[in-house]
Amino acid sequence: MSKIIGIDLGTTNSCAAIMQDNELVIIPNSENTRTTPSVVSIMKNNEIVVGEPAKRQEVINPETTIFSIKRFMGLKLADPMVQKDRELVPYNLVEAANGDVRVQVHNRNFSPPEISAMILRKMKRDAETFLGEKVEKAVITCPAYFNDSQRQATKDAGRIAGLDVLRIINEPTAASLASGFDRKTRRKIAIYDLGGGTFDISILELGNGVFEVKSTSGDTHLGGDDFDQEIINWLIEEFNKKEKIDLRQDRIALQRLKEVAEKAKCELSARPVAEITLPFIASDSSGPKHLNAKLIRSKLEELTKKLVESTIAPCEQALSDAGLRANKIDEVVIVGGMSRMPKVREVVRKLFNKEPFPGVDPDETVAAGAAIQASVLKGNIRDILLLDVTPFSLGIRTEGGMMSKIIEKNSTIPVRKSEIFSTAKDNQTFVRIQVYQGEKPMAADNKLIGTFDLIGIPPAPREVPQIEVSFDVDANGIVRVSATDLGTGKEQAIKITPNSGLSESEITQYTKEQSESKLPDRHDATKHKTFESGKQVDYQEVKSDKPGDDGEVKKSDKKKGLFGLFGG
Amino acid sequence: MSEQNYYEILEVYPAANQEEIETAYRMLLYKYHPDHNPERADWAHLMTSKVVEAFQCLSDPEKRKLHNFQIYCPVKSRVPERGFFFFQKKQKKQWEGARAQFGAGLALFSRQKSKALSKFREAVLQWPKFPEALYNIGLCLVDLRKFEDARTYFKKVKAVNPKDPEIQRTLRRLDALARK
Repeated sequence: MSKIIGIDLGTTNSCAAIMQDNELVIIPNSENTRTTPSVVSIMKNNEIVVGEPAKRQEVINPETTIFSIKRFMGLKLADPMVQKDRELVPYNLVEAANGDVRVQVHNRNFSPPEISAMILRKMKRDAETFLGEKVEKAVITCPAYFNDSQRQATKDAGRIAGLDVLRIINEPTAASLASGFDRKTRRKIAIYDLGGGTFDISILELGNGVFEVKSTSGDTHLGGDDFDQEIINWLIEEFNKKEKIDLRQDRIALQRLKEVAEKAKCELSARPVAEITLPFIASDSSGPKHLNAKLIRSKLEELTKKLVESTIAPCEQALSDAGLRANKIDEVVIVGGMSRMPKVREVVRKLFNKEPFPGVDPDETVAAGAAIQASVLKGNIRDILLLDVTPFSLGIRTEGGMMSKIIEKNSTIPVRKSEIFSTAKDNQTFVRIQVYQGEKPMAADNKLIGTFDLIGIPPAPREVPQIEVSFDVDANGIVRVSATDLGTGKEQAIKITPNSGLSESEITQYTKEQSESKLPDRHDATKHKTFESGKQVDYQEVKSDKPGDDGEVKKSDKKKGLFGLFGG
Repeated sequence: MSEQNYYEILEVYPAANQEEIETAYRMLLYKYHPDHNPERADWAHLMTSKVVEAFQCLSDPEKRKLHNFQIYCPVKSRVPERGFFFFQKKQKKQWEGARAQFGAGLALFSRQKSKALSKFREAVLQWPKFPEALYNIGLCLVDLRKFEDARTYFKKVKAVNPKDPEIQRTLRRLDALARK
C-alpha cells in the first residue's frame, strides 16, 4: 500500500508529516525548512511559484502573489466575512457564476481550491522527493469550525493536487492526537488553536485511546493575520501623524508593512521591544521618507487586546456545550503560531486556571496528528480512534420559513438521522427540500448549503406518501442526503443542487492544468465582471441570467404555496 | 415497529453501570468505526451512528430512564377482532374508521410521536373505549414527557380493563419514571 501523508494546510504556513516505522517524521520541503509558507505567486508566463520563493515576491508583485487563501475557501463573495477580509489582501477578488469567490490574476480567475491545490502539489512533490516514492494519498486538516462547503473545498483542493484525500480531520483534534498524552487514563482536554487565520477551541474526552470531541467552537476569520493588521494600522497612523502621508494608498508600501509587522509580532514573543525600520517607504517634495518605530510588547498587547479577548467567548461556549466547567478540564493544549504570544498564553492560563501542556510544537503538531490519523486509516495503528463532532446544526426549511433541526450541533460523527416527509397537496409528485446550516430559528438567517428535489413520488392523496429522508454526516464532516419511499421501499431519486463549490468537470480540468509544469492559457476572466465598488453597473447584467443565491430562494418561496412540505 | 433496544446495540445487560456502558461503547467503536473498516465504509458509518445514538441515550440518566420505560412498555400493535350484528352497521363503520386511524398511528409511532399521537386520538374520538389506542396515546405522551397526561390515559385503559395486570405494571413504571 502506498504511503499516506498528513498535511496541515494552514492559512499562513503549511506542514507535512508521515509515520514511518512507528516514528513521526516532519517532511522538509525543497528549501529544507519544516514548514512551507502558504503563498502562491503566479508569474506573467503562467509559471507557478509556491512557498518561500513566492513569499519573497509579495513585496514586488503584491497583486499576483496570493496569501491567506484559506480565508476564502468555500465562501461566497457576498459573505460579510469575505467582504471584511478582502481589505486585508492586495490581490483582486471577483465573483464566480454561482457567487463563489474567485481570485483574479493576469485576467484569469482562480478558485480558492485551485490556489490551495498549488500549495498541496508542492507539499506532495517535496514529500515524494524526501521519501523517494510516489505519494497519492493524504489526510488533510481543516479548522474544526469549517462548514460543509469549506470542507468540500479543502477536499477538492486535494483532488486538484492529485491527492486522494482519505480524510479531512479537524486541526484541534489532530493536535490532541499528537500531543503525546498517556492514552490509557481518562481525562478531559481543551485544545486552543489560534493560527494564522482561524481560531478553534475543542473540548475532548480521552479514554481507552478514543479521542472523543465533546464540543467545538471558534471563529474561522480570526488569527495572526488580524494581529499583523493591527500593527500595520498603528504604523500607518504613526507615520501619518509624523509625515502627513497616508501609506494606505500604496500597495507596495502596504506589503512591506505587512512583512515587518509580522516580523515585529514574532520578535515581541521573545523580546520586550521590536525595532521597525522601513527605509524609503514614501517620499514627498522634501525628499524620501523613512519609517522608524519602536513597538513595545505592552503596546502590542494594547493594540490586540480585543482580538485576544474575542477568543474567550467561543471557549466559554464550548465549555457550556460540553456541559463542563473550566476547572473540570485536566489538560490544556495551545497550538497555532499565535500561541507563542505571551498574552495569549496568559489568557488561556487564566481561563482554564492551568498551565498549558508542555512540549507541544505549535507549528508541527497538527501535521503530526494528521500523520497519526493517516497511520490509523492505513491499519498500522489499531489503538487510537478519533470521534469528532459537527460544528453546526443542520436542518431543513419547513412551513413558515422555520428551520427544523435534524442534526444538532456538536453531534458525534459519523451520524445518520432520518425524517419522514410527505406531500401537502393531492397527487403531488415532488417536494423540494432546502438544507440549511446554523443555529438561528428562521431558515433564512442560516446558511443554505443545498437544495434538492424529491421526484417521482407516485400520485396519492396529500400526507399519504411517506418518504424517509436521511442526512448523513460522514467522518470528514461532509453532509450527504438520501431518500427512500417507505411505501414502495424504493430509493427515491433526488437531485441535489449544491449552493457552492466546484463541479466535477472543473475539478478534472484544473487537475489536468496543474499537472503540466506551466499553466495552459485560459482567458475566462472576461466572462465575469469585477465586483468592486464603482463597477457594479456591469454586474447587474450578469446577475439577471444566472441562478444566483437570492434568485433560488425567491423561486422556492413562490413554490412553497404549491409544494409545501411537512416534516417532524 | 418496535423501539430500538439500545442495550442490545451496545451489547450490555440492562442493569449495566455507567462504566460498563462506556467500556462497551469504546470497544464497539473500535469494531465499527469507518477508520477501522475501510473496505465496508457504508456499513461502518451506519453501525457507528447507531452505537453513538445508543450511548448518548444510555449515558444520560434521564434519557436512560425513559428508554427503560419504552422497552418494557412496548406499543400495542394487535387489536382483538370485534363482532357486530347486522343491525349495528353504524357502529361497525365507526369501529372500522377507528381501526384505520389506529393503523396510521402505528405506522408513525416509531418515527414521529406527535403525529402518531393525533392519529390515536382520532381513533379514540371515533371509538372512545378503545384500550389499545388509549394505551398508545399514553406512550406517546410519555415520550413527549407529559407524564401526568399519560397517567390519565393509562387510567382510562384501566377503567376499560380493570383486571389487566399489564396496565398495573405500566402505571408503576410511570410512577418510577416521573419520580425525580
